Amino acid sequence: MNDDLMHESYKDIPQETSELYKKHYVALPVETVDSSLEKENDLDLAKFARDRLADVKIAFDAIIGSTGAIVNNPAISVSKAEDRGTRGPPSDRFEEAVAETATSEIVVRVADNSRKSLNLLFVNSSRGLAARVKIVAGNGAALSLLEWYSSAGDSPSFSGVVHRIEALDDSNIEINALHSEGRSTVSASYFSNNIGAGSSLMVNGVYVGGSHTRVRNAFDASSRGCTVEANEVVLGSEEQKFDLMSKISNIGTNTNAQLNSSAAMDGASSCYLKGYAKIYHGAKLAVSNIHQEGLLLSGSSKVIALPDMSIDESDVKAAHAASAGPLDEDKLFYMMSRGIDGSISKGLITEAFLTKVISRIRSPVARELAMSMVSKKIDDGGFGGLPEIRSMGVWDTKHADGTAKMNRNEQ
Amino acid sequence: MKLEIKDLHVSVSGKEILKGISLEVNSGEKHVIMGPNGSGKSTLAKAIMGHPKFTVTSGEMLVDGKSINSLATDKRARLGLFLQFQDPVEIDGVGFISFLRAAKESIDGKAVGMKDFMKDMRGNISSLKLGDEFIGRSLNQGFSGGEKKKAEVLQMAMLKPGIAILDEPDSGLDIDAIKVVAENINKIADSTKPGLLIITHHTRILGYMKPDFVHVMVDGRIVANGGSELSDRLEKEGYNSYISKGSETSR
Repeated sequence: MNDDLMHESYKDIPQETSELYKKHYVALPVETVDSSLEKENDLDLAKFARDRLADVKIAFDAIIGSTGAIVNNPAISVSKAEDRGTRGPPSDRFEEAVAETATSEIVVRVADNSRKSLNLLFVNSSRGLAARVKIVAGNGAALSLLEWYSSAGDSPSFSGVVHRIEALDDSNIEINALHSEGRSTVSASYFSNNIGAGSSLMVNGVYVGGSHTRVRNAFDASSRGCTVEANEVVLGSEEQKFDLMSKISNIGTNTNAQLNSSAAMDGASSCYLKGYAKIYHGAKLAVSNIHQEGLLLSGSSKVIALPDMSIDESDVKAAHAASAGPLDEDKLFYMMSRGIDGSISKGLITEAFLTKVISRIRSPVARELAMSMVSKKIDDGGFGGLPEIRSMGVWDTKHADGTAKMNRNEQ
Repeated sequence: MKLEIKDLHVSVSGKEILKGISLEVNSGEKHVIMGPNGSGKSTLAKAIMGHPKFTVTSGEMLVDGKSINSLATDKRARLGLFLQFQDPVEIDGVGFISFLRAAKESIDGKAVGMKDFMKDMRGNISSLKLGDEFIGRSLNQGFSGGEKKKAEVLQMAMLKPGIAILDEPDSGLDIDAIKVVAENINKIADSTKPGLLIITHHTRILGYMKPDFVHVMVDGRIVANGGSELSDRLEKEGYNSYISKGSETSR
């Protein structure tokens, strides 16, 4: 990576800067990205919230649009672009595009030894969404963050969000990024972190929407005894293209880094699952695992799994596994032999396949939303949309103290 | 309900496995097909249910006089056919209960209330001597060999088929489990009177369920038919005399 890139226009930066993957990436349609970011804002967030969220059974603590945000929780603030301080060099053209065009940064703050459960809604319109999110957690802090990505329309647009997580010792952070973008949305997502000793970071990404999806994450188990876990779930159809690259690094001693990815692809959709594990010299007793699985639901869909490891320490445990294959005809036959329609059987097997990774999501609400999102796409094949709970039960949308929260109330 | 198989020829990857099978099974009848390994018994079972790997090259399969040759597997099941698998697949992530309820709703063509479904389910689980923890598990995932067999019988009890093909319901079971499985099959046979087509290698399970018809299958053909006395004879003499008969027929 070249620091000079920071000073160039994003348009001068190549799509793929990683030498390792220069032959294996999905090219995003740059004309959509550029034209989208150059458009005037056409989304009235307040009106959107009033008209579209009235029936949604989830209270959002912040609704983030292309040029602003509505914030409903004191744990969240919006800083101006000039206040956002220094940042590292961009990993690619699109991260830089977000940096150049984002007018503000969303800051989520959790104080020492306190717990927060927050919900964010990201909405893009034909004027692209470029957002920066910073998560700051104190010693012993716990955060469960739900992020829902949606589109306000069907026109081609860009949605780019860059996350930076800064957490002190013994913190526990779970972020669930559920991507339900529209059929024509081009999206790019970035995560990086610095977490303290004994901390745990879990980032779960579920991708069902969008025409092109690009993920470039770097998760560092940088301090002694900390854990990072990234889980990725993809359900593709039609011509959708996904390119997910997550790097997990063991830097501190006695650290644990995990990457689990599952992609079920139908129609002519395709997905790159790129996982790179790095164990640095000195990271004694590190544990690193990459597990990638692909399920091909049609003859023309593709999953290309590219696991890679670089290990510079001997006293470690590391493993990677990758597989991709078509739908098991014996499983399909078994289900159909019980009278279950072929397409329903296929859907159930697909759900079951993706459940293996979705079940790792700790937040029961996020887990249920992720399953609902997958079921909805299997059932109606549609794109986009707002959170919809498909299970039985009653959902509370507010805590007694007025903070937004979701709880399933079993009745 | 009547299942008729007429001069059925079936191939797998171009190799002919079934070489002209004819058979008729009616509701309430107990048929047993016995034969040595590789004679085509399981191929017949899967071909009747329409496994895509098995190609019917000639002959016909009829349910109540209507051909099912071109029907998809789920439609055959909805007509009332049921296959108890010899080695059912494991599907992690699909709950046994939700799967069986979905199957029941498909077969019955109407919504099934959870309360009645679970009452029926618990009764059958108890009768099959399966633990309550069975309810929360994924479909066949981590089941022992015996549990898999019992789970198949449980499905048969819940789905109440018109004709059930039982592919080696006794294989891999200990003596006590064979008795439990046989008793439960008999219970289903007494209550809903399905036609049963039982595929087995040996006669142990037949000690608990007296067949009406016994067919001996060798090299893709039925080479002998009879009543329960035929299975007794096979127990004493084995298949050797029939194997040579099958070879002669091949020539």
